[in-house]
Amino acid sequence: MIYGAQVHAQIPLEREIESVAENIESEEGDLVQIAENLEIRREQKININTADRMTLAEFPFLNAFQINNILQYIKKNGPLLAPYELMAIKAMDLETAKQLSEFIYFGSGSPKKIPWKKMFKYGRHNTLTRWQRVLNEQEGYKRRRVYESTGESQGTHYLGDPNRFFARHRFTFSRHIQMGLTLEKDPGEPWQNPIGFDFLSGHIAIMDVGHLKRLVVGDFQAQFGQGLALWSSMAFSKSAMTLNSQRFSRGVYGYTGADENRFFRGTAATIQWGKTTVSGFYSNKGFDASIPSNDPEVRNGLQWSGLHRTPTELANKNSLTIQTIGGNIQRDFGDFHLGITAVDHQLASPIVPPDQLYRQNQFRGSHSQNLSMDYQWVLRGMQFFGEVAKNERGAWAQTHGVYVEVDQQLIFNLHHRNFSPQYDALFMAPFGESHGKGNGERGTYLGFEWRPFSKWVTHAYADHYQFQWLRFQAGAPTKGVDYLWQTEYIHDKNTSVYFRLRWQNRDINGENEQIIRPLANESRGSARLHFSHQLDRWVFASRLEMSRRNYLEESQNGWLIFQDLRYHFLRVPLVLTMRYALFDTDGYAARIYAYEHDVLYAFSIPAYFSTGRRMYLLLKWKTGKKIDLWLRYANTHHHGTHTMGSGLNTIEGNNFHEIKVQCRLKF
Amino acid sequence: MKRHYFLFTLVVCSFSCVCQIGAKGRAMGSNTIGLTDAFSALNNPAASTNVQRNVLITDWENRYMVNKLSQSTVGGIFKVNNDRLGFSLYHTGFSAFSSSDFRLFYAKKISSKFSVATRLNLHHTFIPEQNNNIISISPDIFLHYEVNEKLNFGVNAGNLIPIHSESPSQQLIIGLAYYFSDKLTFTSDCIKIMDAPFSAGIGLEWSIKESLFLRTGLRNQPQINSFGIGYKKESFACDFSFSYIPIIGMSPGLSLSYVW
Repeated sequence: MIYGAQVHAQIPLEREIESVAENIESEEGDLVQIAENLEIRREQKININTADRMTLAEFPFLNAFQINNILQYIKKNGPLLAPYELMAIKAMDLETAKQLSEFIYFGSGSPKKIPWKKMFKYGRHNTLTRWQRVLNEQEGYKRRRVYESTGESQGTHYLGDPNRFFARHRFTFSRHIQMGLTLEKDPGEPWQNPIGFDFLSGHIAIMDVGHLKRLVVGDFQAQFGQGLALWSSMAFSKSAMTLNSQRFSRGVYGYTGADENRFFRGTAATIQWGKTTVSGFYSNKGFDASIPSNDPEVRNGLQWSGLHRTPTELANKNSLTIQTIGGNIQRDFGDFHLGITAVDHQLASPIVPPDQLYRQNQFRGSHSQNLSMDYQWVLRGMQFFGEVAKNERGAWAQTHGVYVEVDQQLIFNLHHRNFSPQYDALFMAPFGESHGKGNGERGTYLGFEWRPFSKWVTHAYADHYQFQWLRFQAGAPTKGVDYLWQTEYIHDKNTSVYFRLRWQNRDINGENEQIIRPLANESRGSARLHFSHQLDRWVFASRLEMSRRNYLEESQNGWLIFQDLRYHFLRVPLVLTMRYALFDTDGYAARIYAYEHDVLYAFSIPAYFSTGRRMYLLLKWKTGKKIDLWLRYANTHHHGTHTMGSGLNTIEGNNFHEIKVQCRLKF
Repeated sequence: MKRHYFLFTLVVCSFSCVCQIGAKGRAMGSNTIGLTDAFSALNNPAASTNVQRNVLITDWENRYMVNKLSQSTVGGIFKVNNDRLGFSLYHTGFSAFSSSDFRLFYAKKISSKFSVATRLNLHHTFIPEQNNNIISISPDIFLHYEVNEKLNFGVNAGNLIPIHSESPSQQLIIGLAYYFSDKLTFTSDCIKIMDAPFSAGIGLEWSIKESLFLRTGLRNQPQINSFGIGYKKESFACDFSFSYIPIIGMSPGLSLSYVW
């Protein structure tokens, strides 16, 4: 059943996205590119027998071991002929094999070539438009209304209206040409000349033409190595996918995401001769940066929210131009792979971080350079990988890991990272605790995947880390631990249940009553039980989760229980998804994140806190072969409160309503 | 003394949505949302679509051995083709306080393994001393589905959309019933009422003989230890329950059911 397969293809990705949100404490990440790539692959399946490492890295449900084993298997045994043969690959499980089957075909040679002059006939257009809005009047808009009607200022306010508009057009021709255009205006942002939208992004990409692997003009991403020197996009960190500590870089590729800062703008190209791949790029782009009031010639630091709603945020928009030149050389030596990456950033204005002790080691100046070497080595049942990097200050960072396959049922992942406190890169995303920043982190991670019996799988990890310098909310070098255990029972393709335990302990600032603020211990724990079942056209999912946070002899507890229901109508092409959740936490510190189904290419991972109820309805209507429509309504109720939110997002009352409408046109 | 009873009643009535479940359910620690039986009219009306005959039930509980806190319920399930129509009428009270619920439900079989029910509840509370006469209405949604022949799930979203401020608190109950065999049944429910702590429990039913049942159950909020026995003969069934809440005391109960 197609819809059944689609449901199960999303579940591990949903869990990984949930883990990302929990780690970065963000309610909406730019995971659009990940979802869009999967959608493209679903429509334009790849030939598994000719796919390279970079292509397989687009599938977030494949771990490093599986990617390497697929390539090794085909190299040694010849082309794969049918889906069942995927199970002959080491470390491949049934669920992953089924997911992968959705995106691949088992071809014996190159796909049929379509003449270039028929590009516009056989090319595919995909246009997506979305409108969303919070139906309550938030404080920022209330102040704006008062200011515009009376001239009375009540402090900073939002300059624009509360509507959010998003539009994207993508054109693809075979696997060789891709063009993209993205427009976005966030809630509160004013309409701006000349095009109106606050954010505009576009690119043209040519791929796999002779030796030219990729040529991108416009906006692009650059990912190399293990993320120490250059990784411009978001990357998954610790999660229940415990064998994903290795980064699989995709090199340079066209950007179609919604993050307004994490990308480059210019030209990028990748050329391949045999087993050698060379990439180079140039970028000249404005980034958001905070401007100190006492010295407008410098910048305090880069800003990543992409929001330009208030006069201050608008003034910071694109206020720092960065010219970036970079390159990468990679060579495949059979079981050994080596890469070298170099990047140079020239800033139009120097960055001078605020004068706080924990920022002492942060980048400052107008010139940033990073050089790194990364490797991968497959040796019998083990895979070694790592990267060593150095910046313009001579500080070093390194990350090394190994996968060990003990047998078909047990795989270990050991990973060690050591970043000098003086090491950083403007665009980095190494695996670790600090979510894309160096911060002088040092740590050792041990994870494993264990399949003791058929239908049972356990994932677990233990991560011990320390920060060698101060951090935000930590006035001294600190240490911490992070443990996770998840056991899942997959009864069949329709039914599964998993239980997860997580416990984290770290040092942060204690009470601010002494001259030297002491460190205090903070621990967080959570337990989750999740059950899902598909019955004909119905899909049920139930979850129970509890959380606990201890700090300064005070405990906060939290509970979340929800029931999801999805129905695929028979006579009309409608899919209805709904959730009803009750939550009860002692405070924000005990909040619980839970992934929610959303319109295509939108991700909703709200934090449930306080006491209340949340529900949403999502309706998808496939009106024909070319048009899909979505409608989503969400409501959050906080019990016993008179306001919700904080700052300029505060609303009066205790019911929060949000609506989204989206239309996709394919032709 | 009357205030004492009043406070006790308020404490109990805050849990009244769950307590109206029959002696069998109380004996199993109030873990009944996944079960299918004659008392589905009270526990999970969606499950009543699997009850193949018409049913009449009556239930009585002497809460904490205090006569004035006793509660009584009558109810029924009636076949309407593949669907079910049912009701329950509940009452508790004494001179200083009384509370009554009238509940009407309709259950529809969506597929051979999945049923849905909606229930409309009319609540009436009367406190003469304060001249307080409160009437409220609340809607509930129930789901019941079979994962396989051994495992059933039930869901209740209570007072899904509060109509007015005197309505009972919103609640969500998710639970399961696992049939190890014809003789042994395990149940477990998780309950969250909006302004009450999270509650979880387990229950067990063992059929000693074809017509004789032993039951026991536990729940954490409020803390309840319970046990009971049941006897079934042809169209009649009789169940006894004994629930113990620390400090407050023991509550015996009796249910009768007749199917035709």
